[in-house]
Amino acid sequence: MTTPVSNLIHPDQANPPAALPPIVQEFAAGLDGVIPSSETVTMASRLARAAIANTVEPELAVDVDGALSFDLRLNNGLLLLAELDIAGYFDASVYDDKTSPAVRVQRLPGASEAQFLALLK
Amino acid sequence: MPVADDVILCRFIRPHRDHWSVRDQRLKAGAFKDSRGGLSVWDVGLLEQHSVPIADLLIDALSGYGQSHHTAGDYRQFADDAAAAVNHPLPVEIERRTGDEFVAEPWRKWSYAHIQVEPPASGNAGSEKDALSEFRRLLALNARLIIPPTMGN
Repeated sequence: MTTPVSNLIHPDQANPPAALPPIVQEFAAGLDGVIPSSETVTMASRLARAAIANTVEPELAVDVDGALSFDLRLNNGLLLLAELDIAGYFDASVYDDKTSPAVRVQRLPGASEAQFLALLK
Repeated sequence: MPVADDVILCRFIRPHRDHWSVRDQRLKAGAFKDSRGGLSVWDVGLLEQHSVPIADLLIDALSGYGQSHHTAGDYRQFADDAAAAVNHPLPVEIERRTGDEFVAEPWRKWSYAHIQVEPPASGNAGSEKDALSEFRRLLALNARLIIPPTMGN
């Protein structure tokens, strides 16, 4: 019995760059010839899709250093700020910006994707 | 010569989503990244002493930019707070940098008021990067004065 060719396609290949959210395409283009790895781009795509699906008016941007930044208002009113850099390092923190000064409520250095997704729920 | 804590520093805000939250009308941490490493800021009080409103600098490539004001002491305090939060030192130098290598035309006539805030260039993955991220976020969320940029439709 032979394996159908379609089964040999790696999951990442099933999502060609054109299918990525535009902001992730911008991130994937890299900066000054340095581009994120395919694993990092795939992670960026999952994070971006989750942010878009689970928050109101999510603001994603590619910063001057090529990092993909997330500025998200959570359902509980807190602010989730996260960043995936071009090398794939991810960090996130939650702030209460209704106080003066704004205070950090939670910090997730070297955050995992699972931690980020849990905050969005 | 170190810049005194009470000196008010203006960082210009790019009219783009990496610097400015349209949703919240708020500064973003990305406004405190600079492709050249150090942050370019301006001494508001010194310009005023020369009868120059800071808005006069918003010409040419800076047209439409907004402003955020912090004191030099704020920069130092937020660097200390960020360092404490991640338990990693975050040295920040605030120095007057008036040479042509720091100030481009057509802003050179005001170069006497140019200051550079120099945190570590980019930070390696790990604690230093975490400290830098925290530093930028504290600056973004706790500006003393913000004048929004002019965002396009």
